[in-house]
Amino acid sequence: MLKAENIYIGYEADKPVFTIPDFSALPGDMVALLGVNGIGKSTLLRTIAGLQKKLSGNLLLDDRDIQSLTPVERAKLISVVLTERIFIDNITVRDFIALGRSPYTDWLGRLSDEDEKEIEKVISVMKIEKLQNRMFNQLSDGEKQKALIARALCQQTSVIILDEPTAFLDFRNKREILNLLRTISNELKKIILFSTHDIEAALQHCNKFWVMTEEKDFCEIDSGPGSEAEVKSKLKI
Amino acid sequence: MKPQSRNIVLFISLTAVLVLVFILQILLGSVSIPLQNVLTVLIGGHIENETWRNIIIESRLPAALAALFAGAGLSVSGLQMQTLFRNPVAGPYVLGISAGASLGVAVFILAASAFGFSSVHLLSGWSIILAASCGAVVIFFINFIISLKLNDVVAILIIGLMIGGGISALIEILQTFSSNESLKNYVLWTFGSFRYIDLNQIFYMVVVVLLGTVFSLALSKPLNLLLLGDTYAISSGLNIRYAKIMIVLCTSILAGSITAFCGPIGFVGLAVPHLCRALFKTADHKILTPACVVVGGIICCLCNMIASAPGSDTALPVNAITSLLGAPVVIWIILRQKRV
Repeated sequence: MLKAENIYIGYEADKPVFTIPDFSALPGDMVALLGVNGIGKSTLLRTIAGLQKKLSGNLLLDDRDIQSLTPVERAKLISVVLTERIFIDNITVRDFIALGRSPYTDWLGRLSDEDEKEIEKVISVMKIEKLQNRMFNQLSDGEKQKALIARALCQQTSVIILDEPTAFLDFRNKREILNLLRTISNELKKIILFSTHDIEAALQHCNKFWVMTEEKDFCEIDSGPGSEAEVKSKLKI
Repeated sequence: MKPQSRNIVLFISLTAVLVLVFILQILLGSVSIPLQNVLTVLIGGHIENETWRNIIIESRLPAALAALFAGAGLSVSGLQMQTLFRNPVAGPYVLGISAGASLGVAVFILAASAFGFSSVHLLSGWSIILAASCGAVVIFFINFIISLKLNDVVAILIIGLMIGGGISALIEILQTFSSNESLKNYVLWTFGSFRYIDLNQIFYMVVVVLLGTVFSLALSKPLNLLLLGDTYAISSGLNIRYAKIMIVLCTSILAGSITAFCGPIGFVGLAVPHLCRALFKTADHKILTPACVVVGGIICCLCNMIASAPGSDTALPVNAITSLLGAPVVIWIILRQKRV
């Protein structure tokens, strides 16, 4: 279980960007993080991922403090898909995905049979058999996003955090990616947490919504009757 | 053919080419020595003609070894820098590392003479490696810190240029205060050459390059993760600060010590990694590092052969040859970047 108690996030201790009294997410949850630009969604995601320090409070994954984990321990629990673009010349999609095995491989990064098996499994879950031998740089935006998600999936973490995973995608790709994420969280019992501005798609696919309002309130809303109206009213739309 | 077996075939053929150019290098020169005799000497046999033996052992073999190991080391170092900076035009020469090593050597040779030491004596062994490596590390750190703030292709080139300019100014000032003898030693050094090294010095260089290459191979995993960018690398479990310091040390020692012995040699470290990526169609440093050793060795052996063109007594500066071959590569990379 991913759990927060009174966390302050931001860059300077005396100027927190946002204060969050509490939230929690269980395995199998697909959580959408909603809010206007600049409200602190990426900061929150980065903090949960352990990429930046929280200012205060408790941030726990399965009762362990995320911040005090070693980099390798954390990499086995939380993986990320970010908005920053990746340019690597001459790497095949399969080799790219295999980089996700890094927390498990030896000091030279050699893949064991078990690693190869996991990579095969991820490729079939993501249905990207046809992409695996192509060059990463030659993929379309939608295909790249799938490769990035596959790399994160290879890390075999209980939490996958995605920053605007559908931002560059057309309608069809967007739907496909969200369906895939839904499948991953349902069947592999992972916590999927992603930020998005696409409220309709989020309402359709997620079972939990974290809204960061302009009044600096943090609201946790479970999907159910009336949840759509509540999310929209918090976002003033 | 599967990529893996394709790479093995490629690797074996390139190694064969390397052996060929290495022997060719020793074979060719102003005095022609039959191939059979050259091979006999190389495998430690005895030949009648003592002059031939001396030419091979005292002059051609050290130069050939220097070319081989300088090419290998500079290419490995360039590969690491390109990954560390995530910038395709990074390399020992472009980043001003060679200039930094020059400064180290200049301070060492010129200042030593000011204190009354003989500079000829100082031009050997570990002391010069240390001087050049210190210079290289200092400049590399400066460059690295600046690149954290602004990292694009052109900015790196300009900063390298400015650092190079500043350093030559410093060196010129040093020169006005130094003796004629040490000045001559220094100027000869800056031409870049594989010729002024004796077998004794070669030993140091071979040891450093071999250690550096093994060190670099051991850094394959962090280097591969750094291809993803810092954030992804951290989220994949990399201790990024530690990894970067190790890479900076490894690459500076390689580039610094080679520059110490052979003088500044431009563009090899920049161009060879690109050749290797294109040949082996991979971004994996476990494959690219040995590939850089072999291809870098081939390129520098060829440059050495051109520099000491058969029959002529005057050798061309190696730096001029490598720059002539390497500069178009940089232009090609920049043009290709624009298209992406």
